[in-house]
Amino acid sequence: MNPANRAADRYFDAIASALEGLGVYFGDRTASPFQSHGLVAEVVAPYIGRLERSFDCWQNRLGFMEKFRIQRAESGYPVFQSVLELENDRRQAEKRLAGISGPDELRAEMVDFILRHRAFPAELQQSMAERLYLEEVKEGNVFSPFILPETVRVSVNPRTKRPYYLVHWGAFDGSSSLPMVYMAAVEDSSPAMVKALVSGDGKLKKDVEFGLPVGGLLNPELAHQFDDFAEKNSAYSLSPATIAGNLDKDFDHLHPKQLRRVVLGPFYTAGITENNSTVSEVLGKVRRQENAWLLTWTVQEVYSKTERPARKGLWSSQPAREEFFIDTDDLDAARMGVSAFEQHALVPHEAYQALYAAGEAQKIFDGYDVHVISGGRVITDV
Amino acid sequence: MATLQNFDTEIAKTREVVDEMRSKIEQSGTVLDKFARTDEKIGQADFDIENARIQDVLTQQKVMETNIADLIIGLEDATNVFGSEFESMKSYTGWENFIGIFSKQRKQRMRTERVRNMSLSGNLQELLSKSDTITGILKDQKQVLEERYQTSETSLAKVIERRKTTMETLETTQKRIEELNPMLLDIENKIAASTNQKDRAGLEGERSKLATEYNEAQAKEQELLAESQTLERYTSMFQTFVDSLNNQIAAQSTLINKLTIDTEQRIVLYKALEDSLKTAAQQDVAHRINTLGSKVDNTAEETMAGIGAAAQRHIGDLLELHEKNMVTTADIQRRKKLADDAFARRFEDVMKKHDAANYIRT
Repeated sequence: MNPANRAADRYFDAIASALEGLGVYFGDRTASPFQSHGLVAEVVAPYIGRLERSFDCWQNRLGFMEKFRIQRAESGYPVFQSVLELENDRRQAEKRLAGISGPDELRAEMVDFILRHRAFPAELQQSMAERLYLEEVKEGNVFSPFILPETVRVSVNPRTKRPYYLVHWGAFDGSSSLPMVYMAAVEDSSPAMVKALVSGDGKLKKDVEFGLPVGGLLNPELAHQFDDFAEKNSAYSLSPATIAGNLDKDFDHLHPKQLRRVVLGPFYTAGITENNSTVSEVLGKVRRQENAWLLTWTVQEVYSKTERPARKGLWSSQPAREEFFIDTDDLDAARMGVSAFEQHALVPHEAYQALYAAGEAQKIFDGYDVHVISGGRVITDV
Repeated sequence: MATLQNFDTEIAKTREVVDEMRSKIEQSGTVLDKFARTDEKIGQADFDIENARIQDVLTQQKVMETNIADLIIGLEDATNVFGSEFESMKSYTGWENFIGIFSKQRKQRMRTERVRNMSLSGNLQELLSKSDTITGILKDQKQVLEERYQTSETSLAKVIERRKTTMETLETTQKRIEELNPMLLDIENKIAASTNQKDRAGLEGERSKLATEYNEAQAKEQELLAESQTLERYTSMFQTFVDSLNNQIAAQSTLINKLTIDTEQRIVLYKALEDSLKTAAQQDVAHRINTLGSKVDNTAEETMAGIGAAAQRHIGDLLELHEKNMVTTADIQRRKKLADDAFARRFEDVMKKHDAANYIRT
């Protein structure tokens, strides 16, 4: 095995344990002190599953392709091209699978080859890897460049008597190579939906049947438009306030009340990614290679503090507009264009212990919520 | 992206040409292998046919390579259309300029809207799938060529070996002829000198035996000479074939290299461009939201001071980011230059023709 392959294996092992830790953190809600984040956890968990499958696919893909590239600086995730390739292969999987013999046939051929030539059946192994990869990728539950919106909660705001949806979607940012999950709480004032969903006393009608989660926005008239909007406004370089503002502006009848963005990265591995001195310092203190990684993620949130009511005049009319709260007391929040944000870091136990012993944990993780992973469990708030 | 869609037919055409080419190479290769293996004699007619076929393969190969090179340049041109799309994003459209006469703000807003609603993901996906398909064709072809190269090279070695043995036999035969010549003369002299009837008869018998051997050896010499000549022609034919295969493999590598690096560069470049345009468009939007959303309050002064510091830090971050970005881009640029140079060296004619013909209308 050559050094490049070893590095790739180490990278895949590290990201697998990091994602597993993240899955535990978001999956086990009792372990998380952020009870209010129950919903966030529920929404984010499937995306982590998608990421895990994507990495499985990439690892299988490496079995028959010669290269796999990750963005070493800043993100630590695979480059955008890899994500596009995965999507591309997903579309062609059916056709390509038809050209490869079945798994049993391949196994028989391998045995035959070994017995007859007394050599390693490298080529057949590649076909097998390709087959496994295509089968996996065909299932489609990988992290695509863009994952269509889905409505997971519906209720009615008793004050405004408007139906209220919780929609989420995912995107992999191309320039910064970061996977992101968006969650938007949106009020819908379109008359048809209000009529269909809201009862006279300002509650959700009990007799309306819709099986949640619903693909796309619940409002069927706006669903396609909303998908389109989400695809075009999911870049990492756009601040959450901008995205929420655009959403407000593009849809007269939709009123975004809250928008959350979970950026699942960057991810650092010692010796593979290029990091700044702080991160290198953390990772440099770890003795065992497989524990030398660090995953950080950020939850950004912007919410509306008031809504300027619609104005209807003879010459001009203006639909209702939101005023979003930007926390100007917190400079970082102001810079990001958010009302609030949280930064989290997930580190293996060994790495954290080394730092704590040196008395530097406080300094390095200033401003971060630190989660320590140890033996398949995640301990928070250390 | 209509221009990219047109490519499907082009790609299909190329695939056909490549497949045809492949079967031809297979054919010639197998025939040559047979030549090398069997001892059967090949007539002049067969040989000429085969030679003609190899010549055909060589010309076809040129056509095919030109075809693919053309395709790759075409893809480059088609994707450069993205570039002009970006250019249009930076400036205002005619309508926007017209609106600008009445309201500058509205003009700006319209452009911002336009930039905001642009998305390249579909195009990039399309570009990747096209380039993947072409790379797939090229890689398959390269593999076939490499296998063929292997077998043909062994065959060539075999033919050379065969020629060597033939030459050796020829030499021994010629040596034998040279030995037989004086022996025959010797016996004839002996016959002339002999007076004894019985001795003469014996010598006569010996002479006829030697004469037969001499004639046989001479016939064999002719035959071996012919065989050696045939084998020599085989060798040169093989040599051409193997050389051509080698050449083709190199050409395929150049093409694959160029295509891979091109795609890589374009995805990075266009994604970054899209992002920077959108971010630039967002800045005025973000500013407006801030003034709209945040009322002047008692923290205003503090915030102003803070923003200076934050802005500075932000610029620092940007610079750092830019630096890292530059490193990646520089690396890609360097590799692209290498690939481009190799491509230009090999396919200069195609590029010239292409520039003249203006292959893709933008």
